[in-house]
Amino acid sequence: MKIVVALALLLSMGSSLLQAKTISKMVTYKSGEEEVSAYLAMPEEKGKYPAVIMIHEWWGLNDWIKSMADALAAEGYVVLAVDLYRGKVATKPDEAGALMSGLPKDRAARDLKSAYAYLQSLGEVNIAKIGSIGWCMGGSYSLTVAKELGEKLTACVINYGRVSGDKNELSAVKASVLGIFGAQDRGIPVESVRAFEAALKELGRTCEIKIYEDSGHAFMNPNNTRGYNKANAEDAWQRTIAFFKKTLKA
Amino acid sequence: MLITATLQMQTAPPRGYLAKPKINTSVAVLVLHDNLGLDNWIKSLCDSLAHEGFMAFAVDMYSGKLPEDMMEAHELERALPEDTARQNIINAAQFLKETYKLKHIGLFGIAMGGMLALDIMMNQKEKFEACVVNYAPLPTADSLIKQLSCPVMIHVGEKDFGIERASVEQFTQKMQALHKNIETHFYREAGFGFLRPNHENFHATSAREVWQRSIKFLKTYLLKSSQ
Repeated sequence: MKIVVALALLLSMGSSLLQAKTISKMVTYKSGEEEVSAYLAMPEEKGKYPAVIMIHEWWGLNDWIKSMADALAAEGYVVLAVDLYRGKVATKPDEAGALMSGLPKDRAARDLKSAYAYLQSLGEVNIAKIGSIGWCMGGSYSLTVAKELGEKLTACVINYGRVSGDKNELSAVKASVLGIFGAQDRGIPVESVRAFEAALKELGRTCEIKIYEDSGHAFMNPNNTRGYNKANAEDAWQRTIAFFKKTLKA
Repeated sequence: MLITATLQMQTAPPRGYLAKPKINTSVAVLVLHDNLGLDNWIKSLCDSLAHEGFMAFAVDMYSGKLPEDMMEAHELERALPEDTARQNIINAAQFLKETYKLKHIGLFGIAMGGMLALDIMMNQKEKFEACVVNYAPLPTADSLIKQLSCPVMIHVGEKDFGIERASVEQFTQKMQALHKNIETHFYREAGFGFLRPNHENFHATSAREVWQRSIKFLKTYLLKSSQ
C-alpha cells in the first residue's frame, strides 16, 4: 500500500527520471532521557545531502507522511520524519483530536531539537544545510523549529500551520520561509497570513507565501476526502522542491 | 436571581460570557473553553459556578467564532494565536479585579483551555490562586513545572487516546517533589472530551464527579482565602 502511494506520488510529479532511488527505515534517537522513533529516508547513492526535519499532521506519522519523506528523499535529501506521538497514529478525527490536544508542547519542542542533533550525527548529512517542513499541526511546529533553532535552520516550509504577526516572536526565526495556505481555511484568515509575511519581511527575512484561493485546510492530503485538491497539491509540492533546492542546495 | 450578561467593551475588550452570583463575592473563576469554543455548554458551566457563589467569566478565545463541526474546531485550534489568547485571559482577569473589586481568581480549563491555563501560569506574572485542568497536555520539563505557583487539580480519563496515564503520573510526581499543591484524578471509564454533553466521549457520572471535586477545590482555595 505504502509503495503504491509513493509510486503514485512519484508518477504524478512527472519528473521521475530525475529522481534518485531511495532507502528508508525506522530509527531511534535520544530526546532528553527518552528514546524516540522516526522514519528516515535518503537517496540510495552514498554522498552528503542536505537534510529536512519533517513533521506530521494531527493524524500522526502515517503512510502519507512517510510517502512524502520518500518523495523528498528522491530529490536528494536526507529526510527525518519525526513521530511526536510516540507510535500512536489516528485514523478517526476524534482520535486525532485527542492526540493533538494531548501533546505536551515542551516535549514536542525537545523532540524536534533532538531530531536536529540526530541529523547532525549522520555521515550522510551536510550539517550546514538543514531545513524543516510540516503540515497542519506539523506546519505550526515547523515554525517552532525555526524559532528554536534560529540560524542553525536554513529553510522552513509551513503548510497551513499556525502563524503569527508578532515581530518579537518571529525575531528568533532566521531561516528562509515558504508558507503555503488555502484561502478557505476556516482557522487561518488570509489577513493573518499577510501579517505574518509582512512581519518576516520587516525583520529582513526571506519569505515566500502562496495562498490557493480555491482551497481550504489540508488540501495537500489525498486522504482528506472533503478538501483534497490535486492540482494545488502538486503545485505546492513543486514550489516546495524548488524552495528547498534554492535554499538547501545552492 | 441569577444575572448573566455578555460583555461588550469599547476598548481592550475581554470578550466573553459573565455569570454573577446572587451574593456579593470577591472571588472569580475564569473558564477557558476547549476547541469547540464558547458555546452554550461553556455558558452553562459559568452559570453553575455562579450558583456556587463565584463570579464566573468564560473568555472567548475565538473572538466570536463558533465552529460548526469537529473539523472546524480542529482548524481553529491548530491556528489559535496563543499569545493573543493568553493576553485575552490576562485582560479578563484584570478586568474582573478592577470592575468588580475581585481579589482571588481561579482558572478552570478544558483541553485546549487547560493547556492555556498552565501556559499562562508559566509565562505571566498575573496571580491565580487555583487551577483546574481537564484533559490537557502537561509540561514535562522541571524548569516549567517549577513556575506553577498555585494549587493545581488535574482530571484525566483513562481511555484518553492522547494523554498517557504515565505522563500524568510523572507530572504529579514532579509537582510533589517540588512541594507543589497537586491533586490528580483519573476516570476509568472516560476518554478525551468526557465532560462535554455533545461530545461522543461524554461520560455523565465521571463528569459529575469532576464537577463536584472541582467546586470543592475552588472553594477551598478561593473562598477560604477570601475570608
